[in-house]
Amino acid sequence: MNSLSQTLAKALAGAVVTASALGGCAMACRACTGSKCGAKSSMQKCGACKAKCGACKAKCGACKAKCGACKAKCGACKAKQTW
Amino acid sequence: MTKSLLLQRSWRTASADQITRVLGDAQASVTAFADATAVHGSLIQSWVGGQEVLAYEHYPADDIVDARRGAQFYYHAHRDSDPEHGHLHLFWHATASGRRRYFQPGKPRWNRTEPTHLFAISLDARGLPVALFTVNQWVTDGHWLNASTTMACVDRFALDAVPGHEASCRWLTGFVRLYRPLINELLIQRDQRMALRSDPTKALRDHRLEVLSQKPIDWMADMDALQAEASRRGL
Repeated sequence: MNSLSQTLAKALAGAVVTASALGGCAMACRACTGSKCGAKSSMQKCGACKAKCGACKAKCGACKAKCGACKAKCGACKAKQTW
Repeated sequence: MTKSLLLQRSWRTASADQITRVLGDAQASVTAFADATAVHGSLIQSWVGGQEVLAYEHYPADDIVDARRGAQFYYHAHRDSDPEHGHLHLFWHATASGRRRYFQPGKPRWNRTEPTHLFAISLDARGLPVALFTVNQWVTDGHWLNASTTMACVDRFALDAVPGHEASCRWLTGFVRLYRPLINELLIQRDQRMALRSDPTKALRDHRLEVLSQKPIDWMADMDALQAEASRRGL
């Protein structure tokens, strides 16, 4: 049997090293997910949040206009008005 | 880093059938990891796809979801701590009592409940898993289930080949099964820590409590230990 650790070592020897994360959305994407590290759920419905990402403040209310998913899930639209 | 003594103890007391199964999971996971790394450059790149990684962004953008099995995960990075580059959050779609929720065709996937967080896996910049950890409820929302109910969800966590992410789905499915004893221990430690709080319900929303339990891992050393156990038994 081949050593599994050797297979891993070989794979890692040729692995791409990904650069550290850069500063992302100022709202830490809580507008889309509703929590710091929550799963994406509302985006599956209409994609509105994704389209707005990074420009949340400017487009406040867009979610509700499109399908209401964001408001229903996390209250993001409401929150954005005060952030 | 060295092998996990907890895993080693667990494997030592496991039946031959269990060791054979775990070995199969390990082989599937290692092969899938090597495949993803050969094709995409790394597991991380299989989700990031060559983009610059932005803090808190989900990779892939819509998460990876197996709607039939109710499993979901995504990768992101926001903790600047060596050796972690970022981490995966694993979810399972359950009711408040930990039962399976089935998606209905043509209806929104999430009507009443949110995906429930199981645990997270830290990866280094090459995509190698380096730690497992659990988080408080406010971090991910979703239902808060005790350790034994969460483990029942972990045991059902699996992803069929989600298009475009076949290798990472195979890797993660095998990896979760392989590290089951350690995940169980992490969840027990999580619950023990929360039980020390005077008001556990309030503690679930306490932003001073974020990571509740954590264990560094050495995947290669653990693979050597598993194969040594299999060899000792002549498997």
